[in-house]
Amino acid sequence: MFKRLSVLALLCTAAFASQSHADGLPAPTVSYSADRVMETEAGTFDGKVYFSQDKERLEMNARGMQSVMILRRDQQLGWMLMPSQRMYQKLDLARAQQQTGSQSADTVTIEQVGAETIEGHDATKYKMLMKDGSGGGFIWITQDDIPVKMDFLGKNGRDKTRMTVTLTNLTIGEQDPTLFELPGDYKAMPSFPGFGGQPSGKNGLLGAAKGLFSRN
Amino acid sequence: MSSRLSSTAVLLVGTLLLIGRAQADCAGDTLADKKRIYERALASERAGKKEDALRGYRVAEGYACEPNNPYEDDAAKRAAPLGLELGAAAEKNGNLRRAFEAYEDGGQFVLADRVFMMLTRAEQEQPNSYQTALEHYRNREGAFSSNNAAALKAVPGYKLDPKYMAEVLAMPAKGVEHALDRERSAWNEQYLREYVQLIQSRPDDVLDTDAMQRFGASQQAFAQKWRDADPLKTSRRALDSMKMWGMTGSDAKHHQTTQARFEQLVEQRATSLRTKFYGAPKLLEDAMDYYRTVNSEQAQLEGQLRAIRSQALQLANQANDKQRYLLASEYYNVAGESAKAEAARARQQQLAMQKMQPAMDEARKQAEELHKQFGDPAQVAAMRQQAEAARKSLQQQQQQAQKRNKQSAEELEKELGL
Repeated sequence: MFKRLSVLALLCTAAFASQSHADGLPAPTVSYSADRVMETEAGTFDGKVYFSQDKERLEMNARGMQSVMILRRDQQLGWMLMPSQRMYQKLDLARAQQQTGSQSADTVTIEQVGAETIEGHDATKYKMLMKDGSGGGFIWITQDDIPVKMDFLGKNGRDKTRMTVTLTNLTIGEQDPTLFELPGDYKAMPSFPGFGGQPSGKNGLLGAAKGLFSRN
Repeated sequence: MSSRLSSTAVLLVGTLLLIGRAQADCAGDTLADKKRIYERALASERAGKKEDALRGYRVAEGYACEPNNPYEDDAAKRAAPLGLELGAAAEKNGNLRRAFEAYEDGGQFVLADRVFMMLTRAEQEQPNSYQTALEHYRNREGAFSSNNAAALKAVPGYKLDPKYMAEVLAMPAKGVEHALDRERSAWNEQYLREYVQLIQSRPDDVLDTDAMQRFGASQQAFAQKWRDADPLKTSRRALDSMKMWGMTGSDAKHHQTTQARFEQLVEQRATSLRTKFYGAPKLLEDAMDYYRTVNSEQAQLEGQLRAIRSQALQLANQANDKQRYLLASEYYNVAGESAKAEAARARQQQLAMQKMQPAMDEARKQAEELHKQFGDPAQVAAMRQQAEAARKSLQQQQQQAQKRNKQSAEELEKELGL
């Protein structure tokens, strides 16, 4: 299970690599918001996405349990918010990327395979394959470089899992800057030895992926 | 004539009797003992037990109850090379105490004096090292030559080097200076400023987790920066050492000037704490401890302590007025007002409880509702059924989703050509 999820996480990393990455896909050039539907083997999860340059807010709702992730690539950090507890956990993006995703461009091939219309938006379709054959998928990117749909497969021996993320009700426009800030009334989750506030290498990313895709 | 002879005989017998009693009263070894010890030492040496042999020779050459110990010259001659060998080996291994003993037992007094000075230097922070060294080098004079005649014959040419005595006599003055250096290193006003800042930044509301976390981080940073957990204690220990060195030796002027410097420094430290660093209750307690090191007249000390307690009481009242109860309780403790200290702590706990009250009321309400719900067996059975149905439905949904996902994953796999 973890192996398949790590392949998906790697594909996501490669898909959203910054423009400066020679082999990565381009980053969105506009600010936008959209509804986000994620289909995985654990079920279908609704959410929202808000994007502004180098800033992203992902709201997820998994069977009544709401969680929010704010990613600040400009500061190389993120916050995982738990609205029901009004608590947050800080994430060190630079460290997580260094420990898990730094070789993604070398391990994935990206090829443009056509053009399609997704949810009313003209999009370029790319095919992505892990060089070791452990996964792959398609990604549809609009003219504004917004990844409007992703369809990924992760494999580990005979086990396979598919994950599809689709954006609907895509609205291009400036976003409220407070969406990307840590709310003032949230408290940091207490850190205990072995339960640090920072993601710890691969387990940290796998843990995050597990939370996103599965309840197992 | 016969009367004179009989008187002489009586005197002779009496003298012999007295000699016999004197020998019987002698606490030392008899010649027979010396003979036995010497022969045992010889046997030890033959058996390669050099340490035992050296100790034996040293005892064999020492004072005997009878005059003219016939074993002392041989014992001293045999001890000399052993002492040299064992002393050098111990010195090489860094065991200076053992090296000194071996050299001393072997009559190698020049070497023993040199190593003794090294030992003294290693303990020079201890004022009692002065007295020990003084006694050692003083004992090299006077009866030393006659008491160690055999050893001095076996290793000729010994003379106490005057530089050692000069160095020992200079120890009290040096000891004072070293203690002063240690005190100056321990006393650091930057440390005190930061300590006061830390204590003043301590949150009064223990329920304010953000503030408590910030304070914890500051406390950790402070402890990492200042490794000595209590530099004022280190300072006072150095001052104590300075005072002891001041009382060491026979130079009355040295005694007076050191005592004056000591008292002046104590006053300076206590005054600094009282006037500049009173923002932390512990530092006022430290000021009192400084005064206590002087051990001056009881009345004077009481006056100094009373002034600090009065200052602490004033600061405690101010902190209390500002609702800084933790700080207030600590100041009250310094002031010796334990009842008020306890009252301030109680007030702080009361405030915390008041703050927690709404959350506690809410929890109680929820507990009562739960109790009401679960107090009805029929309702509990219905809820259990609902939960079981929901669990089964969820499980089915998950199984179906997994099946669908697997099928669609295989389709995508084909499409990707994996």
